[in-house]
Amino acid sequence: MIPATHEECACPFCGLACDDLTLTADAGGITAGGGACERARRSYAQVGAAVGSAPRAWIGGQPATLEAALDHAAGLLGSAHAPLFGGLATDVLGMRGLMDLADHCGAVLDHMNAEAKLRNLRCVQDQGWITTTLSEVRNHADLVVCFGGAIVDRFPRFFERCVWVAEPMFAPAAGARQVVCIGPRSEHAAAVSPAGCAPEWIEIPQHRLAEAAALLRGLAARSLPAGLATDLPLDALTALVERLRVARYGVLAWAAPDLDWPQADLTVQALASTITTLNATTRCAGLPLGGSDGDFSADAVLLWQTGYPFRISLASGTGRYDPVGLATERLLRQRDVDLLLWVSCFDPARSLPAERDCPLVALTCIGTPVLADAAVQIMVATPGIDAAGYLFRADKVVTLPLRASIDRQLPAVGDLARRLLAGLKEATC
Amino acid sequence: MLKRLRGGRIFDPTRGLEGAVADLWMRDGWIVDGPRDGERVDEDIDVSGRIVMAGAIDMHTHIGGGKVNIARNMLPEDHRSDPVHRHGLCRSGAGHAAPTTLTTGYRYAAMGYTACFEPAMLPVNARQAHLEMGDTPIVDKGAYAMLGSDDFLLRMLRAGVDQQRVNDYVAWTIGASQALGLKVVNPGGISDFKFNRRQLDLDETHSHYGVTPRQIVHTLARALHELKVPHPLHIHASNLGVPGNFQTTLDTMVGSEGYPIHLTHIQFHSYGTEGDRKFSSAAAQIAEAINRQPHVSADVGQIMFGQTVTCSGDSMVQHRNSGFGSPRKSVVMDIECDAGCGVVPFRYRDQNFVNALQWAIGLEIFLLVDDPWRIFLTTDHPNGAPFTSYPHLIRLLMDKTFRREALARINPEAAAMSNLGAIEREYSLNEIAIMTRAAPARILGLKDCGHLAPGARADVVVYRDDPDPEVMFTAPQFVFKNGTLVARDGEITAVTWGDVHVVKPEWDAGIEKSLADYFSRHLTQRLGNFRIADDEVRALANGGGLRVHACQRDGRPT
Ligand code: SF4
Ligand SMILES: [Zn+2]
Repeated sequence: MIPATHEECACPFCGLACDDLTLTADAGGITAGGGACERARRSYAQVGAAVGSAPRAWIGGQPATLEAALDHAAGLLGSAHAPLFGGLATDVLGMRGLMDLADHCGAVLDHMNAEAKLRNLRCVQDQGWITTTLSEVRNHADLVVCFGGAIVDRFPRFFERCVWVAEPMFAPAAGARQVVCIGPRSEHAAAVSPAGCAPEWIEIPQHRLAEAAALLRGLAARSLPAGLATDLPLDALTALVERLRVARYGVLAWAAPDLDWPQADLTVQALASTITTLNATTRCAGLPLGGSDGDFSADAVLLWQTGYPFRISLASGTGRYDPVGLATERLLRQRDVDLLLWVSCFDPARSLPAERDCPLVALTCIGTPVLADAAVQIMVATPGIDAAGYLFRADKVVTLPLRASIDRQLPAVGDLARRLLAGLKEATC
Repeated sequence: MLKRLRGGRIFDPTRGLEGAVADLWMRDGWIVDGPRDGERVDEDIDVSGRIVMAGAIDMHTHIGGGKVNIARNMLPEDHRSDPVHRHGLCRSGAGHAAPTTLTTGYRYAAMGYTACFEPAMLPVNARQAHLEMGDTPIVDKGAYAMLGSDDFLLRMLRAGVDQQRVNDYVAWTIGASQALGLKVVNPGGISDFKFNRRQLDLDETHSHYGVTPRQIVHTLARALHELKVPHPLHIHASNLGVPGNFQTTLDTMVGSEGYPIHLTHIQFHSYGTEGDRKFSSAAAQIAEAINRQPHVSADVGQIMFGQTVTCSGDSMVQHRNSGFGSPRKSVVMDIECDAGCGVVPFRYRDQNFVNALQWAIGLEIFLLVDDPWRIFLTTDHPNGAPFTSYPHLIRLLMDKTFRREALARINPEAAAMSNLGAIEREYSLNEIAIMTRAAPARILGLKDCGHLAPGARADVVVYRDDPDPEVMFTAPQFVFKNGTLVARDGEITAVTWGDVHVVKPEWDAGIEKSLADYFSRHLTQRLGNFRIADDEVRALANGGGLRVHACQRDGRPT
């Protein structure tokens, strides 16, 4: 095989969807270069590895042909009364295909990241917010506050691409940009500027972050009682809010998975209110980062096709939205569903819900172990490796094209869904 | 496949037919003269006594792109209260104010609409807009790309580049985002809001770039004219919703210096400051100005009472209005050095003075503008009301008794300040056909839509003649899209995927070099990944075709 090189490819392995990668396809699979970060290199090597003559489909843990596996899956879907489509780590085109199937089957739909996304979603549905996008941060922000952590854990190139940039159009150049992280301290080389400038930290343990957000809101609104007693670093938080007040364009960034505690939606609301208040006199915007595992992509399709974000049931013939009751773990635990169709195209290490007592049809990416207890498992193409597709980026505004850079003869999720639907329709007429 | 609609009363304003009884022939998706020698008629449908028109065209409706999906995300209550079950050929869906894409397509088609145009496609969000439009079945669609607060243009204007270079950029933007036209929203204002500006008048200068909205409007209107893009610059003027803004609107008309312009949702830009409440109708001044200036056209953006959601690119105005949300929530975004947006749910109340007067102002404009070829029937879906209120709106225009009864029910103070009750005009069926078919096709440059002459697409609607126009326009008896019967008496009979309408003005390749450099230095995606290729837009559109319209404009600026 002659190595083929593709320039300016978008990466699907986190929500930043960096599109300056160089992908080289050869007999061994895909190698990522160009702007690829460490995580991208690792992911491409693993998920993009050549498949050769290894099995690609299994029935009950035993290798099978794709046709047999699909037939078996269609039979299971056809006899299921309450199927659950979970995981749903796919791109726009995969989700488009799955939606036709879900509507036909009256399935429940849930995404593997829905729990974290719900923290943001409740804020949008209850009060709204003021937000911004990656290029605005890159060019406008003079003060960037990362709430909950250093962001780079989940979005490795965030600082490189949005903060420590050489020539922002409006904001001070990299050296003069202020970056403050609030949360349990962690050191990341990726958060340090090329000139060696590290973010400032306001150290707050994770279990106190909800309080910290409430303090920020009170400080911004000047509504904290005088002489409030707290062992949190109130002076540092007060100084930060005053800096936000005089900043020309402050940005408050967070990644919802970092806010992992009960009722963290109230923390997001506190951050959103802080921003709203500051906008009475200056500009400030939130950056609720997401988009990893295709979550924004699947969610966007679900929204425009059903009117609801994640966790809906189509069982009654129209969407029923219940973001608490329709959680995958809960449905499986309570045996409210009788089949799990699991879709996971990006992260082979992502584990399935442990507690389940119903047949499993798993559409998984290369690198995923063979699931001995799956009724059917099919290795699928990964958008951005061997399937073309579209990915909604971390700010939900930009949709990057994902290119097929290698042909491993793996089926795309959307095509599988269409074949399953055709099988079901055939069986019913 | 030859079909005949026999003996209908044809309203085809392009050919001056006002109810002439004639047969209409369709072959393989096109209108034709009649059978070839010996050709068999495959389907012969008796439509005698029925009213036959071309498929309706909504030239300004927010059906695709980020802000509509934000609205859906914010408003599960809108969907819960209006569920649509999977039935027949149709997928499930939901939504009154921000309906799902599939439901949108079915509802439009069932109402006799066969083409819908998304008026505010942010170039940076164009893929999403095309994806959502692609999942909107049956109807054709297209979009106007939004410029005017994008940093690339503002940098060019500040640098004083020559018009040719702006033209190249405009042409490139339309081509790269697969658009049919160009829109400007609060020219420069969305950008200046990012610099903490809260209001930007037509002749005020942008805090950072030093250019004025007037300059932006003029430059873009001229660019489209010189590129011969059929649709004139689509303008959401400065100062939306501000009492007294009619003066800005009048100045904007003059500001294009004779280059054709289209003022959108002009109802929201026709407010005076008279009366105790310092809020009054300036519909008369606005209509008079439109009547006098043939280079100006407008769509109304009528409001209707009830719950809706306002979705706008105008982040500056939506931020100002965010406290008026009902329910009280709002999303405001700054977007990618390109644009912005704001989504605020809103409930228009007939007993609220301002809302009631807004309602009357829209109707006054409809009735006071003489030329139905230059005023378009829109509610700025969903900003003034959902598009499903069109049949009701048509009745308000066609039936003065009905209109006066409605006027008697609104806030009496507002009713007293409006001269709506004194207006005798009733729209004729022919005028409705003009403003919903012939005129939108003409102003968008769609040569094969909006009329029924041989050579046109067989997008045909057959109505039962009902004394109540609302009944008549709600559920036509037959709707044909490209010759296929897609709806009958309000039920979907076939699900097809409409085409995407675009224009392809030419640009000098030099602009791409500057853009590639700008993108890699300042933005967060590469130019090559921004541009949407032809085969890609077809894939986004679920396999619908791509219809490229010629860039040609007749005449010179007036
Ligand atoms: S930061 Fe994320 S999108 Fe960018 S290269 Fe790394 S994994 Fe891929
Ligand atoms: Zn509009």
